[in-house]
Amino acid sequence: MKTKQIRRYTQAAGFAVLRFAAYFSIIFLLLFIVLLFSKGGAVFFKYRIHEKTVTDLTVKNMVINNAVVLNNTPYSILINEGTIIEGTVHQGSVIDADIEEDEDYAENTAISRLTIHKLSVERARLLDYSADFVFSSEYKNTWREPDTSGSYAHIADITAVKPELYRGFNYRPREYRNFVQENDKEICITHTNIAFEGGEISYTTVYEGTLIDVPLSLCVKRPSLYFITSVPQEGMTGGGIYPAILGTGYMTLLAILFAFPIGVLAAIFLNEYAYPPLLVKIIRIAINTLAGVPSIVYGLFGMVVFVNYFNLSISILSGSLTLAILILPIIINAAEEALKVVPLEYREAALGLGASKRQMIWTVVLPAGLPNILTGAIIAVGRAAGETAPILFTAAAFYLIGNPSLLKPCMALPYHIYALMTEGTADVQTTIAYGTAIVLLALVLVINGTAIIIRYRIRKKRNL
Amino acid sequence: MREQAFFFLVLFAALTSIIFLSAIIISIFSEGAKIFQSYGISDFVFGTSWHPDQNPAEYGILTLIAGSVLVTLISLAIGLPLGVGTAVYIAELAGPRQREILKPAVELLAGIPSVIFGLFGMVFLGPWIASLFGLPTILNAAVAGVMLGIMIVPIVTSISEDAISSVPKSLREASLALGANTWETITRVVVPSAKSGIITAIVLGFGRSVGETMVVLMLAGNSAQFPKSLFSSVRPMTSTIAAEMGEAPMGSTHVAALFGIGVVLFIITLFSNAITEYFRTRVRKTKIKI
Repeated sequence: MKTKQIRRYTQAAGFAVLRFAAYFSIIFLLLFIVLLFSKGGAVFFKYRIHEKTVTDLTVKNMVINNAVVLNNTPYSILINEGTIIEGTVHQGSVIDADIEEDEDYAENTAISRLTIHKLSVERARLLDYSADFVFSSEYKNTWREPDTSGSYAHIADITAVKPELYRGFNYRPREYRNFVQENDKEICITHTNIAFEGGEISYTTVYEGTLIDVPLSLCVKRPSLYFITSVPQEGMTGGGIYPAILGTGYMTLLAILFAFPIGVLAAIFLNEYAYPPLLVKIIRIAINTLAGVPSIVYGLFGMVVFVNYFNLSISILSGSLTLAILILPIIINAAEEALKVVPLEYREAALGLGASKRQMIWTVVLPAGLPNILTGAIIAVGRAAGETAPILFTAAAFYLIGNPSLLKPCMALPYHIYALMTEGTADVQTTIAYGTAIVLLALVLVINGTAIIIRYRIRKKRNL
Repeated sequence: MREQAFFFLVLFAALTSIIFLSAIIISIFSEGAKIFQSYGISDFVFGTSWHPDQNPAEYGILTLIAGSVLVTLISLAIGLPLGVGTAVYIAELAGPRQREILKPAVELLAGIPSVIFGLFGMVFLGPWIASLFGLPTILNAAVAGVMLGIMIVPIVTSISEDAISSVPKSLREASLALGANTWETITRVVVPSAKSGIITAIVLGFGRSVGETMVVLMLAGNSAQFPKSLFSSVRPMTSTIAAEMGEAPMGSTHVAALFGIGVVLFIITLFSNAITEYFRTRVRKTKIKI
């Protein structure tokens, strides 16, 4: 009785382990996709300035430097981190204020750090001051040179009454240079009056702590294809990866153009002729060996033969020839499998109708096997697109824009990821690497998915 | 006449594989031979210090081989149970519905470029392992090995699955008839019968892991020293070639040494291929016998 239970439990545990192993691939695939998108998805959005006028915007804890405040009204002023005194602000200077602060700041003629608590200014107007400097606890030291006029403002912790309107936007400046990224969050540093998380206020009036009819410039996040249609900018810290996509596309296309005809013809030899037997055996061994050669060795080979011996230099041509030889065994094997499943009756019927062997292969066997051959070719395309090691010394360039040419190096998606991760310095480059990885992963998954779907359809048709 | 021409065309196409293989062998070996001549084969293969920039430069690759072996063993420790488990599940337990999901998933995993595995290891797995074990660096043999292990899951799965599904049904039925349950049938009858296929998978997985470049280049930590633990920073052979080829001056001994590493790699994979072929033909033969 007891052993029976033990056996049953062992079986249940064993099945659970096996199930985990089997579903691990799916878990891992999903993990890949989710994590990459969570980190790199930002590159597929662009930030646009969206102009808007709103009312009911409350500000609190504003820090204003060198602000011009009209209508001399007394209110509580915090100068220099913690000393609260009563005072009046007039034309940017504190009047009648009992100032108690550090000597460092006292020398400034204008107010250097003025915190307004519970902003209860009646019809006060904040005139054009520049928000050169935005900080909150997270955004310290996002510093930009002050204007030549010497006026700059600190504005922080501004909360909006309608948070859904103004929060949650990551912001981008009108110009890239005004844009600072820290701790995965982005802030705007702009020339306008008030900047806050999500946008900026260009010019406004404050009434009883409330900003009335505020013309807002919000940075709005919109899906955009700029990442895959534009060239790298700002020393590889901005822009897109268009040249890398182009380079990978050209190389993969050329590789498949070289390898596909040779591979299919070789498969015809192996499956339809298979003569003389000894030669066939040697060829099979050669193909299997080729399939197992490490990709870096292909890279060395491409470097010696194509780059140096044939003097093709480090170029798209060298890279695609190397890749072609790399994917040749895959294509031969797939094509041979495809030809194998073409029923013998087809061949017999064709020969019976008086076709020669060549005609039979050309008109009956190849068309019948074509869908499966194409499936194999598609998988080979996916392989060629993702390989890095063979193109390291034969084709890849870290930064090269402009029209691709056969005899020039090119950028490539997989190499771009590698180069950004190992040579890149800025944090933004990691994001670009994630973005590139998403593009490459999507490309490869679509390619392989297509192959799988085609094969599935063929199988289904055959079963019917 | 046309028939003849077509035959020669396809014959030539098939011969290209021999031509390319010979070209690879000649190019790698002729470049690598320089280091064997000038440095000595045993000094090269069994030398323990790799210092190309010192004067005199030292080109002993034993530490690099040790790095490759360590990373590969870790990858097999991860990849084999997962791959064989997946194969057993797909072949023995999964219904047709599950099979339709699991098989494409494994194929999709096979198609993921190695550089993405590298990226994943660098940003997610590496930091995670480092914080779990309190390591000073995120790049080490363990991270590279685990990522490689996941990478070889598809190849291990597909070969073991072939082997398992070629185990005759009568063996399973006999086992079940003797009173064994499904689990016992799997562990004591099916898997042992598929042994040679699974050994093939091990060998092929080994070849893949040894030859893989990008994952180890990005993750193994890149210091040429003997590994002291699973979490040592190592420099496998492939990543040495990839990392140093760009810096080495053309025609120098350093380049020849890198090609020498290529030769060693090539020979290792040649052996693993030969063993694979041997076991594969055995599987085929036993299949026919029964």
